[in-house]
Amino acid sequence: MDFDSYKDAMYNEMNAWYKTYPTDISELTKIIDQKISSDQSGYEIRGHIYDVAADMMEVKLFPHCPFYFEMASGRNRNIWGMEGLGGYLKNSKAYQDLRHGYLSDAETMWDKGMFIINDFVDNDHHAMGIDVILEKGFKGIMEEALSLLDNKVLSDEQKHWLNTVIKGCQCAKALGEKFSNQAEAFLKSELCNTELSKKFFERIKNTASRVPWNAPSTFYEAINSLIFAREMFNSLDGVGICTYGRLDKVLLPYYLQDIETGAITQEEAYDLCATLISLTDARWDYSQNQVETSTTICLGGLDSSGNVIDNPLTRLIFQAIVDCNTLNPKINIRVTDQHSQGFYDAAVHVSRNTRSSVSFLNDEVIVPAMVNGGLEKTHALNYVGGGCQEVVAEGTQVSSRACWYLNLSRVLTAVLGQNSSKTYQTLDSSSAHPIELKDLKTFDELYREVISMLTAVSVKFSEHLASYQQHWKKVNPAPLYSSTLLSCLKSATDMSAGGAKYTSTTFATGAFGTLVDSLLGIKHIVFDEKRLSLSEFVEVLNSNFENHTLLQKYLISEIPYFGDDSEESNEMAARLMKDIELLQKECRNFADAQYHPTFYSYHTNIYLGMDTPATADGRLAGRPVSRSVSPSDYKGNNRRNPATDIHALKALDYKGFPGAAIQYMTLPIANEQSDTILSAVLQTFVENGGSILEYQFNDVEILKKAQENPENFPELSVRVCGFSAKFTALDKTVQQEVIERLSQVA
Amino acid sequence: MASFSSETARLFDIQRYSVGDGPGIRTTVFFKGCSLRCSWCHNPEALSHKIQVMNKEGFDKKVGFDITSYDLMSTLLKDISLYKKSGGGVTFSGGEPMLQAAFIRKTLIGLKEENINTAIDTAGNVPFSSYESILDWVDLFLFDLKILSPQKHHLYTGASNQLILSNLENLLKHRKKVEIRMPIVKGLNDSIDDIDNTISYLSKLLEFGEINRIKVLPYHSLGQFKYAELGFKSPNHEAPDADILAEYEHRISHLFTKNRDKKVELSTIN
Repeated sequence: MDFDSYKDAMYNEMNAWYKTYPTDISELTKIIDQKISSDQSGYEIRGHIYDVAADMMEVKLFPHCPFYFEMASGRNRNIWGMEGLGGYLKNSKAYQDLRHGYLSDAETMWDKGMFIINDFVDNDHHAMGIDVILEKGFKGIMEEALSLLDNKVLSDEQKHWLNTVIKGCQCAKALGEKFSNQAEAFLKSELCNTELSKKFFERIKNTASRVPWNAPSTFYEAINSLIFAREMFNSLDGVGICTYGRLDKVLLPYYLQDIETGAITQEEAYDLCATLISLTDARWDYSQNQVETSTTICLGGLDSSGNVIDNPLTRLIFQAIVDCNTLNPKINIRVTDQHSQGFYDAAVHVSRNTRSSVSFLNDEVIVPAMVNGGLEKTHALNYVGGGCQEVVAEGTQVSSRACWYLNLSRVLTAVLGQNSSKTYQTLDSSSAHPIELKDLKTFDELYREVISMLTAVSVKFSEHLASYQQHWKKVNPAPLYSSTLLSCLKSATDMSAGGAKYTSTTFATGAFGTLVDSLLGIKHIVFDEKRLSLSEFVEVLNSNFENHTLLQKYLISEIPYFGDDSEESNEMAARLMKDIELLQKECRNFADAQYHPTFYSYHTNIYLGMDTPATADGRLAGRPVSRSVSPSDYKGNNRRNPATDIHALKALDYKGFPGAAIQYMTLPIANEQSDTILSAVLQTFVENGGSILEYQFNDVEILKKAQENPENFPELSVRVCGFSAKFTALDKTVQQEVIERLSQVA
Repeated sequence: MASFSSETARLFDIQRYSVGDGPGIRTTVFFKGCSLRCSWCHNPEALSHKIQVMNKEGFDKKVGFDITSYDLMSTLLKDISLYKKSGGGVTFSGGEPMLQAAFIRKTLIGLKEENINTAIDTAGNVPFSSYESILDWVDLFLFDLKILSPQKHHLYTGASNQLILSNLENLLKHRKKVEIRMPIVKGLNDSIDDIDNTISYLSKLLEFGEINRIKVLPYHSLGQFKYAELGFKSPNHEAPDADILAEYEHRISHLFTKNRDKKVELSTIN
């Protein structure tokens, strides 16, 4: 394949360029500083950013990369969307004051270990409206904006917004011309030193000034439109577009047309796909602290009419993923009960033969869940995983979700009075108040207290967050990105003002397993076996099981636990899950939309666990809590394995979780873990109603050696949770958690 | 003398998601009680039919439980989708499952009604009539081939290998699919003579029928702690040297190269 002939050159050229990041943009920001006045809206400031980018920002072509996309926007190498020119607004005093205010409030509101909170809006994890970009190009978007200005009665704010969109589109046109001009200049320079670079520069010269200003008409142009648009939003709009979207759906018509007309060969199409797959990898420096890239692609699933997507392009991209074997992008594969055995086998083969993080998203559950969350089915069918696996309906939904992580098990410890003073102070006495443990006579009374506390915490959290999120449009609007989302353009309203068809918020709930197991622990020890009173048990927990090692071991290994597939643990999990779903529906966001319940952890389980006291499942204070909705890793595998995990799903209803629920599965390393076996695991996961599955396997002994002698393992990669990373570049705490969880199944 | 019933079985474990006891994803049912006393056994809790107590991390735990065929079937059927999709099924192991053949027969019939693949992991030291009673419902036998010298076999397992070898030959003659499993323990069956005897015997076996797979299983000490938990003295064995394992593999591969019409898969579990 041709890609092999230019891959090394492309990586080298990119590495040389990105090493110089961040580029100096002080001249650009100086101009913006001069243009803005104190009474200008966020939209107007964003308009200045587009103007300055169009006038002054440099673009960068690589002789051995067929695509044009890179903009010298001043971002850091390992960050997208948050810094440089696009981050001008976000780094302004107005935004930062709000952010610091919010974080400072949160610090005083909640006891440590309850939440991890990063910001008051999720500026990352967005998905652009790819269909609009491909159908209209930026020219079409601009014409629509102009038409609205001419023909519709609009407020000043709406006019400002539309004018900013127009500036954004003009900026896209100008940047395309810059690429075209640069290619023309490079053709005459020493940079054009191979036949291939000549071919690439020629094509860019002839394409970049037309596309994506105009809608693309070829496979090449369509791919480049996605890359270009994503880069523009990330570089100038202050948002992180994390996904290239559903490549085998949106690119298929171009691929089929070009193959049929002979405009492209299958080999050429493969090269373009392999280049796209490798782009993220080539741009990132994996030895830096920020180890993960937030870039995903999505394959398979159903189209908007409910037809199965598994076509020649799907398989071509599968092949490119395996051949490239990159650490990124993350691969999200949507699966259904309609997909063929061949698709499952191929998808599993991909997951076993790439270093990237691969997740399987179950349409049979996620689509109905999103419909239950208020989305029209046709929109729900167009979801993607944006970020790691957090689902979002591409082109119609804005979802703030990966900034707030709630530790479910910490709520129980608060009910038990373990370091809970701040939380009780925050909650009105009518919604939750400290309880006398001796007054709880039955397990059900305790359970109701937990749900009541969880409800009070959730509602208070959402009210407080909404009070900050309402300022979003003033401090970090993204008009150009918004213009690709359904409803924003027609209503002349930014996505940050709730203009998209759907504006969702969710806090990610995790430590479900720790909470289920802790409730089972209390039920057994206090109420069923009556070994200790609840007060005595809490004293043991507060002492971190000092002098009660046997009780701790008993709790860890002898009590039913989530994932053992026992009737008792399945019932407890099902009850709790339903209650968590229902109580989150009482929360509303700044756009007055209902929260979308979700289970997701990232690696917050480690850090939340550090501030969580000993729990009634036998977990010691400070240790990681369980991840997302997965059973606890620290419970060992005496009674638990992939079969019990998957069968236990039958008791659970994930269709109430429109934000989806990630189940991490750590598998033993064994020669017998064949494609066939993992394909069966995946298909049964789908059949039994799981939401998202990500599995990991690594040889724990090698990881231990790498921890001791990192210099000997510079290339060793590991799937962490929603992303892959070089093991030795991970924080030591994360390394240790990965080793411990893998040790449980080794 | 223990009594064996067709209504209930005495087990010491049920292992779901078992991927080493036959093809695909399986549930392995471990029957309690064995007619051999192999000195290297890594499942000492499987030897006695009696319910025993093991001390695990300070807790006395009962080892062994009785289960009805109905309850066992309910557990086995939980993973039917995994079996069907992976080409897996159910394996009866132990201990010696064939000591509870009446129960197994009844359960096998139930499994076959659901079209589930079945395997028996046996040490072979039971009358052939027990095998005959279940032959129609078994897809695969995992059959241990331990020591070919009758004297050494008696010394290290407590029984002669005459009945065992005859059973193995009979199963092949009945055209049953057989996977042969050969535990290799240093000093017991790892001499050149042992290898010669084994190859010569395998060569003879090929005349009776088709061997599906041969697994060479080097001794491991993972089960040693269980002796202490049962209050028994731990045996003192070692894994064979790598070159001996390689020689076993080489000779077996060579044997089957000579018999190209016989398809066999050879694997070594380390």
